[in-house]
Amino acid sequence: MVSLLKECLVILLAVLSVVQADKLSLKPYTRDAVAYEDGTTVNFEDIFNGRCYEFGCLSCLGEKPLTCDTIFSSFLDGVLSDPVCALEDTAYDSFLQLVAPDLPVDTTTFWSGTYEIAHQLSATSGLYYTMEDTFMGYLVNSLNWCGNDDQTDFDYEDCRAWDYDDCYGQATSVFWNKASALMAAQARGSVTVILNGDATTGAFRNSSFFARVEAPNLNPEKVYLVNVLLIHDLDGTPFETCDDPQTLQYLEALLKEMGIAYSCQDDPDNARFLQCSQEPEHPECSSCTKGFLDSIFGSWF
Amino acid sequence: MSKTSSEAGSLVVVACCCLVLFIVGAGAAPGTPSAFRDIFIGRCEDYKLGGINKLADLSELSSKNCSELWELFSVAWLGKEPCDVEPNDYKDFVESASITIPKDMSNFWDGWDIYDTVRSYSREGQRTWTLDYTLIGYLINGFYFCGDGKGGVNTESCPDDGECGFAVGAVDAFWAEASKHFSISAEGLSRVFFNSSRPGGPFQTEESFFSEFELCNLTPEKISLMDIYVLTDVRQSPQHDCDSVSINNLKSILDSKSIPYNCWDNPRDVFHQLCIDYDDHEDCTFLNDDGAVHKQSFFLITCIAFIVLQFTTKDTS
Repeated sequence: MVSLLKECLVILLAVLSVVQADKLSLKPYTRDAVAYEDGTTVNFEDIFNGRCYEFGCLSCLGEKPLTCDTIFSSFLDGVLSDPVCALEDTAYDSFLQLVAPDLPVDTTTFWSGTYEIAHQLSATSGLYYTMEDTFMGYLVNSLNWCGNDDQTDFDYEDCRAWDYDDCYGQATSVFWNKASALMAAQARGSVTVILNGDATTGAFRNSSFFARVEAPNLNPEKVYLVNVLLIHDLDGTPFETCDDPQTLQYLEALLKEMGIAYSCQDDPDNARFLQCSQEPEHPECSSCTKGFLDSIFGSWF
Repeated sequence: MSKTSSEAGSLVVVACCCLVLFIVGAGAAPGTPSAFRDIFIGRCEDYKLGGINKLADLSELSSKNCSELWELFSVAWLGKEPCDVEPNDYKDFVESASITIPKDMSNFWDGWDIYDTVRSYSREGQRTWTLDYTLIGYLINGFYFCGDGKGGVNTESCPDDGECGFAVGAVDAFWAEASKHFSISAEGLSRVFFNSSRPGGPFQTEESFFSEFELCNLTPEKISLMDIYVLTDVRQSPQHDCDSVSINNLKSILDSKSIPYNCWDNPRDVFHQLCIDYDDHEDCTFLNDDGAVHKQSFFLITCIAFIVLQFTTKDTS
């Protein structure tokens, strides 16, 4: 019986390789990320307002009409509240109050080093809400901004880089720190964090938003579990895995101290399916799927 | 083409108040967003940054003037009676907002039951381009809009899909003209996606935007190959496949236009895509999953069946 099974496997794998070679070959198309201007993004206000009305309109926030002008002024007040590089941590507080997230239980999702796959997962599944899926994150995602020297308007020419020594209170840095803290503080139930298991700096990198701001700001009275989805590229070299952690043990220890449970999954199927959809012929992507079996046995079944 | 589907509740309203609606001329779909212009301009400026569709040509986009595009778009329908709009009314807008579709990237589809799949397959324009990842489609996607017949916009309600007749009315006429332009611009390898369980068959010729505005506007000299995808949701069993009458109709139309084609029943790249939301479904199991007990038994049974069938075939021959 064992040898029969073995023989069957050999035949099946042989057929599999033939069928796979015969199937469509689709390569992903990629290009470098969006080119940023050095200064505030051109037409910042138009884009902000468009996104504001769109998010408000499509998700029907509240019964009363959204006042995007108010939301924008409140944001701009934050940007211009102090001299460049000297924004207080509280600069965006009144803006953030207007757009504070309140995500469904068990859906809050953080990511670090996994922007693309994390957002593909959130786009194809209702299980994950990332920062960029919240109103506050959506409004300014991928935009750049800063105030000018005399605090009257955006500076469209030049924004200072993120640099904690030279420009601690930088406009976008203050924003994302505060928004990340808010995102963490509102999380309820179980929390997902999508990390990069190939990153040679470690999946739980000290300087990441997740390690610095989000994990420490989780509320142990509301969050009972942090589940790590540890992603590895199909052709990557794993730096760490759930069973062989290099940096994840520090996350586990931090959470233990806070009284929050920790779990970890290497390459969950839904993430693998996303990767395999791009590289269907990769050996890791062999699946005993109906479509696959039909293609072999179609004429007999 | 694409728009948000109407709410279930509004369908009931249509059924009950059909007669009244005809008399009053009011629609069953949502009205024009009150901030439509803001959203349009916002989307337009956002798209021009290059982050929405990463393969769009930035230098080509930099020549687009968003306020001008709004003027051209709105003059086609704003102020008119909702149904008094023809595809041709959008000609100037569509031509001005047109951007180059990269070779081998065009991705057609027909039937709402395949829309979510093709949308996630296209990876926001990084793998393929559906009409709604071009600037033209992106600006309008998801909205109902119409005039009030008195020089303004109707923010209360607009005609639902097909309510003014096929490809007529502010919304449908727009998608008709945009679809036509999209297929005229398509070049190289092209794809079309269908749901195998679509009522009436995957490929349809009656009142189908794909048939009437896309298929007939493809340029045979420019299209090197058409890949036909017949897809089945993991929870369903296929009702049609590449050999069914419906798909054969499409093949003969392509033959008559001398456009070469392939047809694929649930090819593996899309099947993986379909599995993302149903990763615990028995069809969606990786061979090298550890501890997937049901998968192992499924595999064993398949292997045994394979051997048995091989012997049976030999015996009977």
